[in-house]
Amino acid sequence: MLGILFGILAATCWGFSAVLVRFGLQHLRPTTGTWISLIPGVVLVMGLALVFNQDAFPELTAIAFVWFALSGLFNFALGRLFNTVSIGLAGVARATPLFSTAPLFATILAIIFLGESITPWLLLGTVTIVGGIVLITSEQVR
Amino acid sequence: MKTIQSRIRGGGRLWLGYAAAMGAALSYGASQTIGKHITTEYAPPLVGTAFALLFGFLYVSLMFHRHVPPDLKANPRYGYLWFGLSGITSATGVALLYFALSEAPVVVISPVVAISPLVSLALAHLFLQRLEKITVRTVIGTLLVVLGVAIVALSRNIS
Repeated sequence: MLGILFGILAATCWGFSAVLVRFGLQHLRPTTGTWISLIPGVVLVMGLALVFNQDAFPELTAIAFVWFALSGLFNFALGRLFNTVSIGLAGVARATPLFSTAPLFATILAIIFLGESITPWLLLGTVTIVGGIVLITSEQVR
Repeated sequence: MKTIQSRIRGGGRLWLGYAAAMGAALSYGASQTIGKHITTEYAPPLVGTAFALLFGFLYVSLMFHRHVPPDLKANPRYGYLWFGLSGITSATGVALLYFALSEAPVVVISPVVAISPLVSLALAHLFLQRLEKITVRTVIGTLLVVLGVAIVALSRNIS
């Protein structure tokens, strides 16, 4: 039950984050906004990692840092920047459902690169997501 | 200060926004695949995320070093405030996700966190009425996306 509560709180935090970005874009351009938004993230998560996983730090290898660099490029540079730009251009209500489809892309990439298999449930989920995207993007422009 | 929003108008602006949102989804999807490899082979999730955040910050600093100083000089206090709070809530969300995963299996947590677009929609309705109009079509589309993402996450974690 505690896990579900934490999960709901995580989703709520991300929901608030998108709305706050929309407010911030009234005052700053997306690039500078993205830069500012990453600062508390680095401090908070690095602090938590030092508190809860201190033992893991001395064991990190050079190749691990190559993977961290790649993850940082996709998630916190490109992903966060596209996220901010999309909220500025399409709005919170239209952009957030679209970039929340990341698990679908993760699954497609896992099928291509990690050899995971295609299941009927995956196909059902994909069709449902595409239906939702078509509905959102077919909205008439105001 | 001219922003992307002020330069592009109407339908073009909206479609560019959709393309950026799908670009974000693809980037996040790629990072999830990389993240799975990192947590399997090299480091605990929190450590991997901490260093990925640090590298992400360095990339953005390098890419936009010409944008940041003049914007900071202009001193848009509310810009700092909203984006700073956005960074805090986003990072708190990541931390809460790890706590959630330490209390319950991925198969339970994945569909729960998939509701975040619904939360955004509700908050946009509450706080952004002046800026955004939320229609029945957007609500139904979001519900379908959330349902689809939950099915994809479940299918992957069960198998």
